[in-house]
Amino acid sequence: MLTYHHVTKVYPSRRVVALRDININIDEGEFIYIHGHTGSGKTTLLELAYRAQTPTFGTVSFKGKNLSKISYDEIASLRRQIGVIFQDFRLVPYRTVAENVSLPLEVLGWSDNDIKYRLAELFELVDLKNKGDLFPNELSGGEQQRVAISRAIAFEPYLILADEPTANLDSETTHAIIDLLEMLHRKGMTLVVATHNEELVKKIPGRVIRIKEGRVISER
Amino acid sequence: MKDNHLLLITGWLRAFKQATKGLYRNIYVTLAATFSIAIALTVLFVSVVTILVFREVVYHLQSQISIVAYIEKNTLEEAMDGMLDFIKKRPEVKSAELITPQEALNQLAAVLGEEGAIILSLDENPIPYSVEITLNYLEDAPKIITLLREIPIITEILNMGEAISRVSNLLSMVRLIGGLVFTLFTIFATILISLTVGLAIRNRKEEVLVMYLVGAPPGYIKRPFILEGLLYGFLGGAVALTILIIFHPTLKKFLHDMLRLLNPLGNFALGNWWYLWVSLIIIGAFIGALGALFATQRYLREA
Repeated sequence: MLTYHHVTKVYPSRRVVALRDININIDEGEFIYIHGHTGSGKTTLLELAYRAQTPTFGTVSFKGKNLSKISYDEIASLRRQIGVIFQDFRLVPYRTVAENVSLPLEVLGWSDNDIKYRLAELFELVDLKNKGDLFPNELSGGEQQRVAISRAIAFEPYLILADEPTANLDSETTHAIIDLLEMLHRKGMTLVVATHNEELVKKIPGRVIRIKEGRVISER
Repeated sequence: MKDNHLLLITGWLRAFKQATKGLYRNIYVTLAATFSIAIALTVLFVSVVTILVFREVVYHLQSQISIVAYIEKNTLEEAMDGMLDFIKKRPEVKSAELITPQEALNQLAAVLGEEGAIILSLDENPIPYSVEITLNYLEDAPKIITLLREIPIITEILNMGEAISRVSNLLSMVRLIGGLVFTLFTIFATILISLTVGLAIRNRKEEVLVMYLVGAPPGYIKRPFILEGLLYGFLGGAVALTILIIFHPTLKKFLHDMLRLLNPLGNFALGNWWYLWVSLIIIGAFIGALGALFATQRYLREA
């Protein structure tokens, strides 16, 4: 589904080589950890998948399409098939929880009734019932991340990319979030989780790709 | 096809809802935008009204100027009537009137006042028959004068050339200044709104970024901002209208005092220009949307 073929990414302005000759193939239904320390290139790897970046060399393909060669409209279309979860949640502060989560559904043109029904389902799933009318700053870190996850999975994407989804959370909330991601995997979604948390990788089963200084150093 | 239309309508309705929410959620930006637009529109309106009043005065002066053509003595009445009909049929001519020698003499005597009695006591009236012509547009005066010169029974044309040319120049100047003022203030208001909406977009950069990340097409992202600009313009227009309604008597007095020497305004009333009041709101909304469109093009590229 998602393929990195001899991908190298250079940031000339920062004089940094973020990724070096990366070759990864991710199949439908997989649960993959991208493990590495801060600055190892994890975020760049994910950004290439939703076309926030383009590779300097090599190709990144999603469903067989070279992402460097897609139009602006196709980028929008690609992002409507991929759910992204960020370390800093990226919630809109002046939109309520319900309005944040419904954003991708509105973009897809869902009706108000369908959105309402879907939100009820999602809030049940991520345990956010009765929080729909609150604003993000009225929630705890774990709750905010659950809102971000709800937004990412709202339209049942083919692929979920999670960039350090537990970095700002305590260990109890971390496990709750990972349990939630695992549950989504069991529902058939493909997940790519970037993390620096070694303990987490050891506890939860899944394919693990370790990267260091922009290179894949091991895979299990 | 029906579904697509429905989707489009739903999208715009949602964008409108989002835009109205944006108004009160970013209340300080809304207030700043509304009042700057209101000030720009008030100044624009006062300038336009001043220009229109000037134009009205110039038109009034124009109607006071007539061309007088003297007719050869002993011309037959039938010939004079035929000539009068010919002149009246010209599209440039507003009115044409035959003045008898006696009428002309009486007019002259009236102008001279006490000394007019001497004129009236003359044995023989030296003034011939004449035609007094007023035109729809003073710019046509040279054309009509040339035409009159070709009529054999006309002996002399009273030279109003200088007055005609002055009023005509004044009219052209008023039109030019009016056009310039309107264009400049429209550009100024559009830039102002563009900057204000730009501020609103920067203020909501996170939202724009998230919308991009969830795959919203650029048109979808722009919609609420354009509607927000339209609402700023609409509100600004409404505030400007309120200001003008409150200060309407002052404005009228100011214009009246300023133009008193040129010509009394007579029946002129600002309320007569109802279309200007309405267009103030429409122009406000249009400029708002236009400014927002420029801002979205510019700032969304940055985002």
